[in-house]
Amino acid sequence: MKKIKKSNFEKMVNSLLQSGSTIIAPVLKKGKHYFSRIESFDKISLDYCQTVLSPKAVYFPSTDSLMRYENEHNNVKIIEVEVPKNPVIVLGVKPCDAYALSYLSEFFLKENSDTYIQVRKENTTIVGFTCTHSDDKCFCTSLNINPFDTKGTDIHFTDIGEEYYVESITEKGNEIIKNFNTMFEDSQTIDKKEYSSNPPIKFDLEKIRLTDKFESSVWLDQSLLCLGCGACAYSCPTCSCFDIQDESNPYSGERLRCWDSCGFGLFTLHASGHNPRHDQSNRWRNRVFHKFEYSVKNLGIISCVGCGRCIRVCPGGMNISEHLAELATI
Amino acid sequence: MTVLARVSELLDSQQINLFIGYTQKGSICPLFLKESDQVDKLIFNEDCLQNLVPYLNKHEVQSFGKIGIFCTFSALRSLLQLKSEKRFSNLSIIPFLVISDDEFVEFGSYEEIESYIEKNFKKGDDNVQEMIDKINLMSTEEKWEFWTNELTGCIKCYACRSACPMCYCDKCSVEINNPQWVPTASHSQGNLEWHVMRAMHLAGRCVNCNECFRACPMDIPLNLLTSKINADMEVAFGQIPGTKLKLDYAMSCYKFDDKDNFIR
Repeated sequence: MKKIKKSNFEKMVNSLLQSGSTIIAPVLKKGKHYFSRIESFDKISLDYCQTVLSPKAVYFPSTDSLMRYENEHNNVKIIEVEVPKNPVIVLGVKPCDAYALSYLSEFFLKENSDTYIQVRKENTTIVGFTCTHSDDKCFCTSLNINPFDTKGTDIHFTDIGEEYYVESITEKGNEIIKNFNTMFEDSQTIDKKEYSSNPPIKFDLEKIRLTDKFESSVWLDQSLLCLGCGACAYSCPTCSCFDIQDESNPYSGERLRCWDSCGFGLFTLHASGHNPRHDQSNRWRNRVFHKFEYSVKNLGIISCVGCGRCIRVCPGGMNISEHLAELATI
Repeated sequence: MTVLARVSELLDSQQINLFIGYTQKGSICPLFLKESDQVDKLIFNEDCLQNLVPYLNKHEVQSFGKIGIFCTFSALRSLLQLKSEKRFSNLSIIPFLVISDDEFVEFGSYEEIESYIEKNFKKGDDNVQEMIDKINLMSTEEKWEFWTNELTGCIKCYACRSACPMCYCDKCSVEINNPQWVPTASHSQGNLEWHVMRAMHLAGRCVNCNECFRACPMDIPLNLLTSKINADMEVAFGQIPGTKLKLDYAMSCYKFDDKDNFIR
């Protein structure tokens, strides 16, 4: 285990910026935190509870160009889109989000690997941070994620006062320590729990049994509050649904992959006009089933990390943690 | 009689099958009551700002048929505007405007709502007006920069649309995808087209409830667009949305004696 003085941490970040790395970190804008590209160390604001949007756009941007095409006298030419290969460092990623990024990698890369996301993942280093601030919307601990876990990170920092306690998790993490070896000192193992937030457990995950609740009236009752927008899905660090759009004119065009949400009526609307998920209760049920049933069956992972973003952004006051607590009792 | 007792009475006597109000669970959120046993969870205070009327556009909610609902003043205006647009013909709605536990107005008809709004009319939020005044003073380039900057944040989650009482189309223009009229991508052109189109569709219809701004996860002040258009509509046509039960809607009403001759 290693440690680094905060003054050296600043020097390290500035040096990485100077060497041409793109650094994405939490930045404070009008009272809220967002992951943004930073040009200097002083823009970073690590003193945060949760960013409005997750860092998933680093792998999976809201609008992603897949290819372009040109048409000249009916000769269609396909132009491949090159994903930039410069090194990207995402700094200040909390354990919930790092866990979610590892889920996204599984989802997009396990079978039929997605080239665009593969390239981004290869060029990205995830610098995790032990969570120090939680609020009443946080529920990672209810999903067996600790606010100091390192899953999904390449290197993990814990604020212990004047210094950061540092754990290298992958080869990319080792590389950082090697490149800045004069700044890192050896450290004894510490109990990270003493330095982390501690969100209370909100429900017993073991007691949530969805399989026999598909036809339950609970979905209608819970979804009455839902207004049917996509704020939950777009702020969610694991929601990965997308829509392919061709934007074109007679001479050229571009194929885009855009975020989509199962909360929208259009999501399942058939060309015939039939909609198998015809009301919001079906869509809400799908959201919960996907995260707690389908992704467990398909990938062996629950695809909710308890970050609480969907609760914070919901204009209708939907609260997935309360809804899960209710599901655990029926 | 307190407002809670009255809501209980309406639910118990099945004069309503559903009551939509507010409750406090960490933060304030809507509460849907089908029976009176949980009526004491209802709250009403100055922080209860969400316009609950958009819920009445959901067909799951409409299936309850007879519905009571807490309304803020602008929510009441949205209800009247929706009625003037011939909505809710199959619904029996009992709106309540609550001042305190035992001081409230229960409306028995849309005419009562109309006359209450007329007597108690107040212009929208002062902060909104202040921002509009500030933008009015900007040059075209500054306005462009202001909106380009604000709309960059849009992620196309359509929370503005979902939370808006006036956005009730079965098929929104952005959902017409053959051909795709408005780009669904959240790039700068897509965001601009979406928000300009939405604001235009709300011209002369927005009741300044500010739900779009409140709902936006990215804090984009969309209410400025619709409020500004409505201020212009008022000057041009003398119409204030959500104040009249019978409305000759300016954007779709043809008059032989129109003062502009391009249309005649």
